Amino acid sequence: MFANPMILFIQVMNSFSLAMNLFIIAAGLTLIFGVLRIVNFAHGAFYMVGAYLALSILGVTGNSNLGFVLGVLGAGAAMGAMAFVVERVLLSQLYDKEHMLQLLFTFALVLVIKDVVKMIWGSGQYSISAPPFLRGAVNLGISPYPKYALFLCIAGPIIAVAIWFFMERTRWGRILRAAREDRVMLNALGTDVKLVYSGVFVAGAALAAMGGALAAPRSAVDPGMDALVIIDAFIIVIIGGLGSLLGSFIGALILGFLTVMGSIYLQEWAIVASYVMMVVILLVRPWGLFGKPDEERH
Amino acid sequence: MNYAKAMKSCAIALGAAAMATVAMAEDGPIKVGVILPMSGGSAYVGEGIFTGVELAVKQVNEAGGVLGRPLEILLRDEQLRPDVSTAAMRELITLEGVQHFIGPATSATSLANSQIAREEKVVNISPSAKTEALTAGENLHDYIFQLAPTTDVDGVRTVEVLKGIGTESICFTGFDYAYTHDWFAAVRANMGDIREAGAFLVPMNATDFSATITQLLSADCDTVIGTQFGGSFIAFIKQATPFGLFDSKTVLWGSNTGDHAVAAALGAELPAGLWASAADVWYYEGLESHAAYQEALADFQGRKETDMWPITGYNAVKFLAAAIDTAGTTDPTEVAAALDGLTIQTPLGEITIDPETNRANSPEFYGRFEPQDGSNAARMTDLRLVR
Repeated sequence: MFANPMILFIQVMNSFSLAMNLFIIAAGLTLIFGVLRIVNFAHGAFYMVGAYLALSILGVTGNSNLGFVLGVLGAGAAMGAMAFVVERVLLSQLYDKEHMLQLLFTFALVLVIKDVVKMIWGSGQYSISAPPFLRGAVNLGISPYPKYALFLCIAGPIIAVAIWFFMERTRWGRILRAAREDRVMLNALGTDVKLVYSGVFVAGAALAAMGGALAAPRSAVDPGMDALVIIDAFIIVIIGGLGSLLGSFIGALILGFLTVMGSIYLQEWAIVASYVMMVVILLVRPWGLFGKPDEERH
Repeated sequence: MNYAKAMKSCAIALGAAAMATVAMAEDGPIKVGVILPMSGGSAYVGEGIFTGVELAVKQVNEAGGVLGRPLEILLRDEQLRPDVSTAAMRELITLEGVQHFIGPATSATSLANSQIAREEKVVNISPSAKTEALTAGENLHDYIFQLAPTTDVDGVRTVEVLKGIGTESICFTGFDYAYTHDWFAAVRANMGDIREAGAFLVPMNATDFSATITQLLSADCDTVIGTQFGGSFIAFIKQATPFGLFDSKTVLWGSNTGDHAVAAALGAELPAGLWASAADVWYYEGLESHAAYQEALADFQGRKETDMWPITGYNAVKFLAAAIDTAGTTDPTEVAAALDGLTIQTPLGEITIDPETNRANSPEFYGRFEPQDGSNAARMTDLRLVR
C-alpha cells in the first residue's frame, strides 16, 4: 500500500475522518468525568438519542443543507435540555454517594433510554442522508475523496479548538478548570458549583448527541448504535487520560489510525490491538497519556 | 377430625387438583415457546419473525386450532446472547411446561438452544439460522429442524446468480465470523472458472469500512460479494457510495439484504444495480399462495409494503401445527418424528423437511435493486425465486 501514494493518502484521510468523529463523542465523556468525576455509561445512549432526534428534525425540515444544520444543533440542544432535567432531578442526588451508585445510575439510564427510544421510534433501521452540499466526492488533487468524510476531518479540529478556547481563554472555562481541580475550594469562594455541574453535564450530553447526528450520514440509525461507540469512547479517554481534552484528541487519533490501518496490516488482530494498547497504558500510566494522577489534582 | 383424617382429606384434595391440572393441560392451549431478539440492534429481525408467528397462530386458531386446541405463544427475548436464550428456554420448559419451540433467530443462539432441545427432548424449529453446524455432524439430533437455507445451499445459489450476470472475478468482503467463512467457502467450492481476487474481512460489528472500501476499489475484480447485515450494511452502502464502488463494480450481497426494510431505510441512497437476496419480497406476483399470504400480512400489519422476516416465523408455525396434526398428539417425540420428511404448502410453494438432514432449505429471492417511480424504496428487479 505504501508503494501507492494515492491509496496511502486515502487511508490516512479515512483514519483522520474516523478519529474526528470519535473525538467529538469522547470529548463530552472526558468533560463530564473531568469536572463531575462521574464515569457516564449513558454517554453512548445520548449519542444514539442525538441521531434519532436529528432524524425527527430532518423529517420536519426536509433533507436540505439548512435542515441538516438544524438537525445537528437541534439534537444537541434537545439532548442538552433532557440532560439538564436528568442532572438536576436525579444525578445531583448522587454526588455525595459512593462511585458505585453513580455507575449503577448511569447504567440504569442506558436501559431506560433504550426502551424510550424503542417506544418512540420503534426497532427498525433508519438512514439520514448527508446534506446536499456534502454529497459525492471532491477531487483533492491526489485522489477524489468523499465530501462528508472530509467535512468530519475539518469539523473535528474546529470543535477541539472551540472547546480548548472556551476552557483556556474564557472566565467560564477558568471556573470549570477550578471545579476540576478543587470543587470544595471553588464552592467556598462563592461559585455556584451546582450550576457548574449542570452546565458541564448538559454540554457533555449535547456533544454526544451532536456526535450521533454527525455520525448518522455514514452509518445507520438503529437501537444498537450506542453499544459500540461507548466502548470506543472509553478506549479513547483511557488512552488519552480521563478528563484531558488533548488526551481525547490524541486518543481518538490513535484509535482512528489503529482501526483503519490496523484492518489492513493487522487484520483480525486490529480489534485486539486497541484493547492491548488500553491495557498497556493502564498498567504503565493508569491516568492515561495526558491525564493527571489523583495526587497531582489536590 | 383427627390428624390422620385431616391428612387423608388433604391428600385427596391435592390428588383431585393434580388430576384437574392434567386434564386442563390436555384440553387447554398448546403452548409454543418463541425465543427471538426483541431488543437491541437486531430487534427488527425478532419483531419481524414474531409478526409472522402471530399471524400464523391467528389463522390456525381461527380455523379451530390443532387437535381442537388453540396455540398459545409464550415470547422471550434472546438478546442475541446464548446464555440468555438458553435460560429462557429452560424457564419455559420448567415453569411453563413448554414442549415446542420456535427460535432463536441467530446461528450462535440457535446452536446453544438446540443442545437443550436434545437434552430435554423438546421440539425446536429454527426459522432463520443459516449455519450448517446447527444440523451437521454431532449437532444433528431428532428434535432440531432448520427452515432457512444453509450456507452450503446459499453458496450454490449465489454462484448460479454470479454466472448468470457474467462474473469473471470476485472479491470477498464481510464480517469476520462463521456465516461469512461458511458462505465464502461454499461459493469458492462451486465457482469453477470465476477467479478470486482477494478477501477483505472486517472485525465483527465494525462500523467503519473506509479502509476495506479502498482495498476493494483497488483490487482486480469485476464483482464484490459481501455479508455485512442490518445497520452495518446500511453503513457500508453509505460509506462506499461516494467512493464510487457501485459504479465501478457489480456488487452482490448476502445476509438477506434484499429485505424491503433495508430498501425503505436507505431510500434513494440504495445504489441501483446492487444484487441481493431475501427470504421474501412483498411485491412478488408469481404465486397465488404468496398473494394470499401478503394480503393477510398486510391486513395484519396495516401496511402493504411488508418486510421479509414474517414469512420465516409464519412457516415455522405452519410446520409445527401440521406436525402436531399429523402426529395426533402434542408429545414432542411424536411431533419430531412427524416433522421428518413433512411437506407443507407455504406462501412460496411446497417445502419439505429432509428426513436425513432435518433441513428445509426454504427458497429465497435474488434480484437487482432498481429505483421505482412513485416510491422512495427501491425494489429488486430481474427477480428470481431460487430453490
